[in-house]
Amino acid sequence: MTDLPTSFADREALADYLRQAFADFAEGDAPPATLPGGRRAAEPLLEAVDPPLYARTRNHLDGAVTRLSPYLRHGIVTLAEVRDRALATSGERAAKLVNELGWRDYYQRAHAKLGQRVWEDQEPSKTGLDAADYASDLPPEVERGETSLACIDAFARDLARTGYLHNHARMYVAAYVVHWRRVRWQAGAAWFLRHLLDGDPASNNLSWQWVASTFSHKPYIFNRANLERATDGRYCRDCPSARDCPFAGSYEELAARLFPELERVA
Amino acid sequence: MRAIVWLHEDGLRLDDCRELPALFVFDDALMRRLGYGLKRITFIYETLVELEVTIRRGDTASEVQRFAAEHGAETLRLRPTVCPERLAIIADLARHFAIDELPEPVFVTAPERLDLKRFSRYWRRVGAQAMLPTAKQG
Ligand SMILES: Cc1cc2nc3c(=O)[nH]c(=O)nc-3n(C[C@H](O)[C@H](O)[C@H](O)COP(=O)(O)OP(=O)(O)OC[C@H]3O[C@@H](n4cnc5c(N)ncnc54)[C@H](O)[C@@H]3O)c2cc1C
Repeated sequence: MTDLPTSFADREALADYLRQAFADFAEGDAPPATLPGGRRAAEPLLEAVDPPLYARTRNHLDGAVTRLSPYLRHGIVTLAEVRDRALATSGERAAKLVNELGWRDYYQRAHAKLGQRVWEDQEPSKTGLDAADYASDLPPEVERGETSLACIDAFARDLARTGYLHNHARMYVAAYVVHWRRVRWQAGAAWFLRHLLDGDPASNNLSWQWVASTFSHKPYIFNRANLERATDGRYCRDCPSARDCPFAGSYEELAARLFPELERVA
Repeated sequence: MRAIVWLHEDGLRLDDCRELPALFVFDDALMRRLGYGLKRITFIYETLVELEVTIRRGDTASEVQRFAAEHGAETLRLRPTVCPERLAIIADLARHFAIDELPEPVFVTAPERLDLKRFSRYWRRVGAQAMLPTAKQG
């Protein structure tokens, strides 16, 4: 049996080899700009973890999030290790980061219990809509980043190029796909898993279900004001759809538009 | 009993078993089922190059068996996983090998009947414990 090569001149040579050897797995033609694999690459990220700053800024797209997820997902770094470092530097002020690490542990435990059922609705959706109201496939323009919504398109392209999205970008995209486009969450979850370096059916599928409301008590939606705050309005400034933004409005207005059946019941 | 390490992508770390022969298998059929793309393959591959392990391509169970035979091993050391596809492969390999699951550093120990319906319920049970360093986990 022949071993695959383990020695390369540099990262580029390794990438070239893989592009040929695993050509069938190429996701598209965008040149990838991914985080490097390996423990050595994780070290500077571990060093940079600043738990109090994390707690203050993590909801902003430029906030001091750790970007450790691909390393945690693949067991290169462990939750326990990140927790211990955070406690050592910051004590009680590590609480927010430890809580977020807890989400990964929680989803892993849920996946251990559910097995393949992470692909099924955990509960009925709370949108007032039927399964038949949701399309089974992701519209191709969403995946290609060609919806004319500057924010969503930028997130879709970042996802394909880098294999990483900030937590809020993931929430925005998932809400857009499921609630604005009325696509089954499974289609969006499979799209994310193809690209995310940290892709994991536990955290991914259960987060999609949390957005969809099949694993939570109400659907997650956002509005333009919320997105502008988290992004300093950078996408809205030049957005071709800015005057006709589907995310503009109060939460009540958006909910009434997206979930008309709920209004009728209420 | 002689052992090998079967590395898989839910635990790409050697730590306590550096001295043993270690194998990773790129299994096209499995990667297709799991929806992997080239970005992910690249990330995993770079990690393996750094770990200096043997890398092969083919059906996971057959390749693990072949590698074990080459080293005269009867025990497989591996990291825990919750991946259903991988658990099925492990169950299959357990018919031929002693399976030795490597211990993970503890984030929190689970109470007997942990309610996982909502994160809030889970966190109410383990949140305080999670704020203790690993050395103080039960
Ligand atoms: C629709 C959707 C899909 C997602 N898919 C995945 C996925 O496939 N894999 C994945 O690891 N995470 C997923 N997440 C959770 C979260 O977005 C990422 O873990 C986080 O953004 C990774 O970036 P970071 O390492 O900078 O996070 P940080 O904020 O720095 O957090 C540190 C670590 O804590 C864990 N963590 C933090 N927040 C969460 C969370 N909400 N859920 C689970 N773990 C968390 C991660 O391991 C993360 O690396 C998803 C979230 C959503 C809304």
